[in-house]
Amino acid sequence: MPSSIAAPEGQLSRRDKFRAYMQAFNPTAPAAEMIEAGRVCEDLHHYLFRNLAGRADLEPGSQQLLVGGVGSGKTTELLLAGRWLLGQGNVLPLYLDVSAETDLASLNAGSLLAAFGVLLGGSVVRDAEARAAESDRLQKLKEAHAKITEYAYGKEVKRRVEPMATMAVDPALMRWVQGYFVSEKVPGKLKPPLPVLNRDLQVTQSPLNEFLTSVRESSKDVVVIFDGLDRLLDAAKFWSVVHQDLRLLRRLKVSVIATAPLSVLFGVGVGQSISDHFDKIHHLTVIPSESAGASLSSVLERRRGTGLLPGLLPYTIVEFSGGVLRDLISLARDAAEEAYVSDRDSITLADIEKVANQLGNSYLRGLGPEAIETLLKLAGTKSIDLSKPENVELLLTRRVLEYSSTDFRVHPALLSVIPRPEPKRA
Amino acid sequence: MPDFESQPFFQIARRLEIRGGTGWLVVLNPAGDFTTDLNELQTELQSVLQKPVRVVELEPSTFEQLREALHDPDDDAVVLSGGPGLAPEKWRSLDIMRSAMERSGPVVLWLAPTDVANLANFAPNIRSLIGSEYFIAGPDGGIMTEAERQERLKELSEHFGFTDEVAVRKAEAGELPHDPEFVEWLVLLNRGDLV
Amino acid sequence: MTLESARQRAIALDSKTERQLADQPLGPPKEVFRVIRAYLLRRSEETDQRNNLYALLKIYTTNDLVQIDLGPPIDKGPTDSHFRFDSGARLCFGLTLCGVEDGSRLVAFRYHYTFPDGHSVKFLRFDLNDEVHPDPLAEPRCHLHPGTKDLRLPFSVLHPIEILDRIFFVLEKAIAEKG
Repeated sequence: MPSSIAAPEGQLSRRDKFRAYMQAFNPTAPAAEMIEAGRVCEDLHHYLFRNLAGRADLEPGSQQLLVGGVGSGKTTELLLAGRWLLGQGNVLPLYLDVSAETDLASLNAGSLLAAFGVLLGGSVVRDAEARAAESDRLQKLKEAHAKITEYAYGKEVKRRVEPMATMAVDPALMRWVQGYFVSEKVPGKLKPPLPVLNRDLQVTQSPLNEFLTSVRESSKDVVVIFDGLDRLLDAAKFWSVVHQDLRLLRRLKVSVIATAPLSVLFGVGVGQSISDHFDKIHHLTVIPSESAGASLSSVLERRRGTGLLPGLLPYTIVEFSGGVLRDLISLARDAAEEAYVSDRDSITLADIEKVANQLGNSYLRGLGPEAIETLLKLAGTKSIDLSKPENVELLLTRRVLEYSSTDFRVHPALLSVIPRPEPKRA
Repeated sequence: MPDFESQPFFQIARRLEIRGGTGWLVVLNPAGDFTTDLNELQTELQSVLQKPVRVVELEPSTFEQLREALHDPDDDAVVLSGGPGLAPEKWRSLDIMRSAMERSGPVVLWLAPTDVANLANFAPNIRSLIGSEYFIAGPDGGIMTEAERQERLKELSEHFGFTDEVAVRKAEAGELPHDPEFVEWLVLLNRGDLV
Repeated sequence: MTLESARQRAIALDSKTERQLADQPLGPPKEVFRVIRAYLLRRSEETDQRNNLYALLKIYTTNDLVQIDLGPPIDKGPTDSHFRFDSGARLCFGLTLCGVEDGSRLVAFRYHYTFPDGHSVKFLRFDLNDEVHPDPLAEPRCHLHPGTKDLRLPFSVLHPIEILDRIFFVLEKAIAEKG
């Protein structure tokens, strides 16, 4: 990460001004860094993170889902929730992006518990070491951590291959005759999958209880925040992976906040049965620019973007973003980049329109005639049939944006480039 | 269907550079020599970004291989090459592991044009990181046009007071001075054999 | 001590120049072009000038010889094709490379740096001729014109980037510091 440019704006060269702007508008910057740098508007979703954190704190063992489309700001809300919990003093919040740790495509029952156990165990062991806990206790905790780590990552075992008595004695084959050891890797839960065995989960219970007891001895509750599970776009897959683990976590009175795919709310068939298992499902909707334009614009202002975005241009970016936060940040950055390589001193309307056009094209690619027809119909009538899987796909791929459970619209950048049918001649 | 903007590798590298050498973008290889163009892209990125640039093939890399490749080191530039095209399933699995692919250094996706549709349909999380940053690999630029060459020849001829033909005759007779302007004159006349 | 011995030393210096050229292989011509372009891009972005390197720097290839040019072949005053500095100075240059196995070598170059108006010296020009002159004392193969085309002082063979280093970080810097 380049060093911050701290000189007063009036003294910065053109290049430095743009560089500082780009640093602030990096859509790939870790959310934690943006929060630390004070570049996040905490009230953008009406302090949703406090609702998440508050229930997790007050109801140990509660389970909540945070559902939102790609780029809606889920990770930011989760991290803010974690930070809020930490501030309470009586909670140990643990944040885990499962998709960063393991291949979600091959995730199965036990994986969430494994990841959680390793993280919790590590925290507990470090804390015990820092407190200079008595050596027996510390040793017990370390053994529990080793056990859960083995469960998670597998182990290497030595296995003896017995001599094959019927083989002729041959110097080159001596080891076959005498027997020998081989090292074999036994895979763990966070590596390529083992067959699903329900009793596997019981293996984790003992070490987890050990850790939880240790945490609760200092009058704290544990809240685990699972991020990344929304990447499992298919609701059925999501549920098959998480339900056993979540059941055990509820028994252990560990509060859970987890992301989940939009298909949990809008998918065909499985959605309701999944929803019934959770205490609360929070839907992080897209922010409508007509009612929250000022809030969205403040996202730009917060990152000191208005220096290069004169006049009403921030609102133009807000419009084209459709209220999708990551698209808002991307458009702001891309427009600045366009201005810079075109040797301009600030962003112009032409720059914004150009990058919005490109964004729209990126959404347009891969759409067949039926999908385009659906989108045009949605634009005209504001109605879309989400009982059709292909329409849910449009939602998941952000061609369609959900502003509420009944308000769906075509992404504005896409709408600006979508080909209209030729008007029929009389 | 409207196309994306054509940009030479130099300008693409410049875009990454002003961002502080972070972020993701897509460069589409329209046709032509995939390997040669990839080498040129790598060289140009290296020159402008002033950091090492590695090429990592997306196929047949596994989750573990990709994650390791992208994080060891984490801050150089990486070109993820999709070759002639990736299957939808591959895009889905890449999308699922998007968090594992995030890094501090820049990522350039070097793709066949047909892959844009697959990216949009099967990898919305990766698509979200890219924003509007799609470019078609354009001609390198900097190549002197015929008009520019003629203009330069005209300037040389006017300044020294003799024609191109006289310059060649002088060079053949060993009478042309050895100053660098005369060397250029002969090169522009495609008479490098007289240098 | 005599003129003749001065000529002999000048001849020896030109021989040294020949050896330096042979010992200093450069990368392939296109790579040299890219490196120069990236270098000038960075320098330009550190100034307030709008030097469009993509449009200014040109390459021309014929058989084994490559010509890399920025600005006009003869400097007769400021043009849009010059590289401009914040001080008001301008630069044009041309270099000729010959492709060799795995790289290239310098054949000739000229870097014409014109000082801002009012400067005591009008320009500095760094030249490399493509061959030795019959009178190397008056015209060393690699030389510097200190503000006049009639005087030539010997100069070391430098990598193209090293010459640019002196222009940007010595000449321009000195002008900036003088204010």
